Amino acid sequence: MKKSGILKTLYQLQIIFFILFTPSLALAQGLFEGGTVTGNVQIDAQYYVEDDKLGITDSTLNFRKTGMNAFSNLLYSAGNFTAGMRMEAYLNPMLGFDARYEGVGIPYWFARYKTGTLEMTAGHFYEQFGSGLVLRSYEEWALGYDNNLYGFNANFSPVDGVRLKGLIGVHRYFWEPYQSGNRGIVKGVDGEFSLNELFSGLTEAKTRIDIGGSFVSKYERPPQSESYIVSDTIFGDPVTVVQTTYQLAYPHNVGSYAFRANVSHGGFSFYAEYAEKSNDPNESNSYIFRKGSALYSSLSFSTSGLGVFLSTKWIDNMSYKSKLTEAGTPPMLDINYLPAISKEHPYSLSTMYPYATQPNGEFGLQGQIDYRIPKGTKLGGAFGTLITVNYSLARSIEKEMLDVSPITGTIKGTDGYTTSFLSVGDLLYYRDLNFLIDRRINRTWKATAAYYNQSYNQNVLEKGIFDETEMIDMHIGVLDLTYRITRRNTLRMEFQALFTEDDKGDWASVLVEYNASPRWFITVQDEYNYGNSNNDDRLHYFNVAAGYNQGANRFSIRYGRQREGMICIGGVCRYVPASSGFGLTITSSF
Amino acid sequence: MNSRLIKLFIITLIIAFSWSACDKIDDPLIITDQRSFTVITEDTLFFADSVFVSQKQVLLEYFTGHQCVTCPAAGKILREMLDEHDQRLVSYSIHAGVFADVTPDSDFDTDYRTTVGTTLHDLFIDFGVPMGLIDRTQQNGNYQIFTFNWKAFAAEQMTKPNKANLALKNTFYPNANLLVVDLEVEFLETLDDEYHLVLFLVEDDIVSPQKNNQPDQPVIYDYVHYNVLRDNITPGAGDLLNAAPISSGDKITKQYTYQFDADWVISNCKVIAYIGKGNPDYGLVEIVQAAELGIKTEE
Repeated sequence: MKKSGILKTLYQLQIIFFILFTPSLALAQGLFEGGTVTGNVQIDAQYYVEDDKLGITDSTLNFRKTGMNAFSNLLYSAGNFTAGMRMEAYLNPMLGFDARYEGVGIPYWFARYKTGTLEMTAGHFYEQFGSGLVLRSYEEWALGYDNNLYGFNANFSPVDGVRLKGLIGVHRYFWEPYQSGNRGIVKGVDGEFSLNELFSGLTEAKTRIDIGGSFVSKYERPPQSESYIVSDTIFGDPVTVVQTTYQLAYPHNVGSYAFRANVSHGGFSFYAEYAEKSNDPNESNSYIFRKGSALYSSLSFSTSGLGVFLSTKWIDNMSYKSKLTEAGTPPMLDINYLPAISKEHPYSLSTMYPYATQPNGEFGLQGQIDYRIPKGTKLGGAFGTLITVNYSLARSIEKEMLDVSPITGTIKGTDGYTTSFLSVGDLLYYRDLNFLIDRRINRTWKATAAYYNQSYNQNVLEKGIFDETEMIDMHIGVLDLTYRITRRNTLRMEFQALFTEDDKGDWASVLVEYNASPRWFITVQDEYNYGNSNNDDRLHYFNVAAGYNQGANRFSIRYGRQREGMICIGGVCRYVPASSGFGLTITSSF
Repeated sequence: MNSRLIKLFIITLIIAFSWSACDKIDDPLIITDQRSFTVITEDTLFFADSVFVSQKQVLLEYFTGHQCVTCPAAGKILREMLDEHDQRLVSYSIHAGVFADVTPDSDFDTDYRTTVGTTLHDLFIDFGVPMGLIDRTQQNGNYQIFTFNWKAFAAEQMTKPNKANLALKNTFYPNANLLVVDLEVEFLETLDDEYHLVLFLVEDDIVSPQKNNQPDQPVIYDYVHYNVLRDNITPGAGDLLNAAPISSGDKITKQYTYQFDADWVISNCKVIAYIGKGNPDYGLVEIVQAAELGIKTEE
């Protein structure tokens, strides 16, 4: 039998054993009596129709008329014991989700118990060290993103104020079971120390200080490198040719570490984390051997009616995956996470060009001020007014390219470039300046007005071409009005416009939503690309949707046209192709 | 900080450092092979031959040994297949395993074993020789194909679409005993995996004793051994052709040089080239194209 087939079968048997015997063991021992079972289900289904305007035919759909992504979580808890699993089905994966997800199975299950201050997890788990610069494992259903780790995870607090974590595991990769060589093994430890809890003299101090550190390492059996043959001619009589074959010496172990501190005092809070990664030639960085480093920091202040937030990051060569040849979308096998510091907006046109984190080099900055003008004042009105100003910026870092290798003829096998820590380059990746005013006008009307000024470097963020020739500069305006008809019935209207001379030109969008709380809603929306330079592409993206809530159950249906674009959450993105058809979503929990 | 905390902190650090690991690579490019060739400056004498393969050719790797009594029957099947599938079947013989052992001062004192052949034998062969690998593709979950299945399975592989064209050119410089192999691969499909190229040198028509299981002829003294593996020009697992996914239409060219220094009949030598999918356990599997080209040593 094929090796991977045997492993898959063993893995399935493992799950069956786990499901069948965990409750019976619990009952036999009488240890977990009085346990509770909770869970939830979500089914997203689509029926696709041909659409001449979008160029969608049965053939382009590969004759897959339907797509369905679904999951169900099941959690069993009894005292200090918890076990859970998530079943997933992609039959077929909906458009925009990787075809390798096709299938049905249980990619996530675990058993966890806590004894004293030790908590152990066996199976699949999610974990994060600090802000995630060296390790973050998480799942984001909307992105089709899941880098859960399969192995063991321990959390231990030996004394108050000390929290230690340790883990070892392998990443999920679609449905492909782990076997030696097909991806690396990730291991890591993290410690967090609360100085206020550790030192009696600081217990009552108003200034709270936490420090922490992480070490993460991956072991991988690297693939065989390409060979490079170099011939040297030694002239004489006779002439001698020396032919030398070189290969790249990929590291088997790639380590990383991070240190962090969090200081808070009253309404102030400051967080900083610095990380470094050892030489890690990989597909994403064109197989250069330089170290990676990253700094992330944030400063916030909040007081009654005022909030100020500032964050910055500097990243150099920090793509860190458990398989060095893995790259592209969907992002898989990520060991770390590089925090996005651009604001995620709620309106469709303001998210048309979202920011995607650039792990090979990026400087980012974000600042936001939220100020609530008190109610009862002339400017604040009877209910108060919230004003938000936000600015985010992402630029390249300065890079001085090194000579290409005389052996490989490229930067492969070299350090690639040099840079100065915290240097900022000239190339703009993304900029977003936005203002938002949110005000309840009277007991029946509420209004939100927003303005966005964005610059989006399409070449960098979508194509990996580092120049400024495809910059999209845009202005976006939004007016969001909510009218309360009765206590339970509201009507919401959303008017949006995007103005740009670049890419697909101007857009307008109108949305009307009627809510009969708590059971019904119906939404009608049209996005119109009226400014497209190509007359044939001036399309309406019309959608109608309705939903019904019944306790913990929610049903919603949709019919319409989906425009193509990127969906990004936390700087991690998924491409969504254009489509037309019906959509159905069912969510339920118990 | 009390002593307990200091101890805890130190233990944590020790665990952290011992748990983490990294390999510091000071010299990212390592030498894996080095060969010297002597070239006569006025050497303008050379002979070239080339072949272009544009339909799927199947590779049969025949594991054998000169002391294997059942191998002549397998060799006969191989010859029949070569006659039947001219231009569609490429094959060579790998002498490896106990039946390829050398017995000094006997009819079987010639060593046809090679390091690369033994490595392949140890990787793939559990059931002894004669045994075949056909395109390094599994049949019923196994790469090893018994002789009675060769014809049917090879015919099945021939129906597969061609994924890559292969152009091969041998240029032989007789004064320097030097062979230069130029090769161009043109991929015809978009492929996500890593593909490796293998170049082996084989010698055909070696006449030497072969054990046999026929009572009337226990040893065939004038047995003609077919395409016996002599040496590897690339590593056994091949050279990586692509670090990134391949697009349809991608062309990759390679050049290799090989200097003969053994007592082989060069005019009977051939280059066997094949392309397959890289595999962490087996080095290379699922061969997509293969070619064979002789070495022209005179006009």
